[in-house]
Amino acid sequence: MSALPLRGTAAAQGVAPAQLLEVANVTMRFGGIVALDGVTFSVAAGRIAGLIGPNGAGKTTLFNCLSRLYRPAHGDIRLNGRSLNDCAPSDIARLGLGRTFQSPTLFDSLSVLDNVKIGGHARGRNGPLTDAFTLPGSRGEEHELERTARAMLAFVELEGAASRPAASLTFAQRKRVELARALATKPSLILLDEPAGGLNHDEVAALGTLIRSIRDQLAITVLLVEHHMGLVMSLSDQVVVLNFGRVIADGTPEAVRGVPAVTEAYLGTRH
Amino acid sequence: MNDGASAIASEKFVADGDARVRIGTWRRFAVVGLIVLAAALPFGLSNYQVFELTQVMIYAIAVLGLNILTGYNGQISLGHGGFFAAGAYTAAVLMHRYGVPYWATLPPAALVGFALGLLFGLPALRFEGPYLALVTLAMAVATPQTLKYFSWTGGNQGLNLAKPAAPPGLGIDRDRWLYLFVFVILLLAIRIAANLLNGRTGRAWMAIRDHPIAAAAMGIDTARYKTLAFGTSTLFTAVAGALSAIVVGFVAPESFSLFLSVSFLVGSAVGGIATIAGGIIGGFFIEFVPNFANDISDAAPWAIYGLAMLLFMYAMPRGVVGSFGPLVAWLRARSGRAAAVSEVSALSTNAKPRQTSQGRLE
Repeated sequence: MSALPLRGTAAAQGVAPAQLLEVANVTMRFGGIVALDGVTFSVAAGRIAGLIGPNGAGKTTLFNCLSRLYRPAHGDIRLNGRSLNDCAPSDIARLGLGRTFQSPTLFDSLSVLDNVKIGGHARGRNGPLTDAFTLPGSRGEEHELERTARAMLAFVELEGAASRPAASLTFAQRKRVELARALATKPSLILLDEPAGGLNHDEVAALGTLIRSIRDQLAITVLLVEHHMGLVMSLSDQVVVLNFGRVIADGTPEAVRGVPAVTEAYLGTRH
Repeated sequence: MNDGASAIASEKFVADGDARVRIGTWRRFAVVGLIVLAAALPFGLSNYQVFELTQVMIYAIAVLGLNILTGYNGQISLGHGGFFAAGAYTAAVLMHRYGVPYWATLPPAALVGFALGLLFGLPALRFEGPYLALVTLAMAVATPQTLKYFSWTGGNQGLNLAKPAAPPGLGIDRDRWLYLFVFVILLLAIRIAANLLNGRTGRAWMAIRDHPIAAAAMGIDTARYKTLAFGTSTLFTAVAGALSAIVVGFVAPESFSLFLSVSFLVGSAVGGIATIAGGIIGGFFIEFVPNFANDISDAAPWAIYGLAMLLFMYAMPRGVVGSFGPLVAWLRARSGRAAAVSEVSALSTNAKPRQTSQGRLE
């Protein structure tokens, strides 16, 4: 594919780093429309990867394939070497894949803290009987979960909002709570769908710092879909460019910037 | 940034923990006081009043079961009268045909309720809102005639049961004993429901109610938890049905008409669908409002009943507990207390579940 010449620029030198996420030949159709057409790329552990492309390029479709909300017609997606093909959406969190949505989807009637606690569901073991009769171990798990949830709220600098109803938050706060909730799943890879969407200049700058510390301090690999070019280019170790469901470039931000197809497809849309 | 942040987080955690212990002690006093009061209550009332209050508690358990499903998981049921009947007949048949002692009929009734609920929960996965209401309506409509069909249920006549006597040596009569027996079961039911709702299971139920897709993305198996909510809900309601058979000493198909199912839903809405304590208010409404309506007008009791229902829903659209809950939550937040289930319930009456359930009721 046209993406290949750009491979192996930065981190793939010397010993090839472990590929945390491998997307191989993924095709997704809706009726007669091909939303994803043989998409292939991989993301190494410990990276921030940006997924960009014009509107309708298939970015969110790809995210939905990764989190199994859609089932691709062809292709394979591997996380840590394990294929996700036979997984249900509810298996994904347990396998180490967390996500946020384009418009933040909180559990509005619950408190902020409970929202983040629900992020820990997949790692939890308490069942209905352990809960109903608070059998041995259930309290311990709850305390541990509360500790994690509060730590994640502190990480997104919203520890003071823990007992507020989620419905009472501002848009920017909702995005942060959703991020804390995804982090509480303790993922190895986190998918961020337009995290900067709807944020003002200062909030975007703070978001950049936050995403870097997700990688550097929590050691979580990040794959983000984003329209905010400045943010993607300054944050990403690797940029994958989609257009009409195909990967047209894949490499470092500098390398991708120089590809004519990208300029045409993506930047060329600006008059 | 993160080191500092997690240090702050753990301090905050400890601080909240202290507050919880302090206020927890006060709350414990209040709860113990209420329990003592409720246990002493029957000794100052007439036999009939004791019987009525026993019925209130039985309905409270049934409505609590419905609240788990409708209020906390967002699935509506117009068929809980049928599950109540299943519990009642399990107890009645075991006592009448097999001579099982009354107290020993509760676990089998619970099992029957749970199993039936799971069976219903599976097809319920395919339906939502008004469609689910119709599917469960089928249960309510079919119940009385199904009960008449079999001979082991006593057919049209139903089954007469010997009213259980109080254990000798306690020095209390049968009615007061049954009141206390039902009271203990109610306390157990409340405790178990609160534990479930405060824990991993309850959070999963509420997450599914609020946003099923996000819930699945968090690793919640939505089909499994929705079915489980159905089974848990009908378990509570079936136990209430068994208690009803024991206390009334009689079961007959016509006691379990469609109106019983509707009553549960009304009781749930009046008390507050996403609350635990709302079940008790609902129990009072179901037991007393029809009689009260009869007292006001012999000719048109149901018009009065309807009017009472409208007044309640107009004055307190979130139900009695649902409307006072936010006030309590605000007072608690002021005293720096962390989340507890009633606070969550108060919050959960905020917007979405009410809207959906109202939409479904219409």
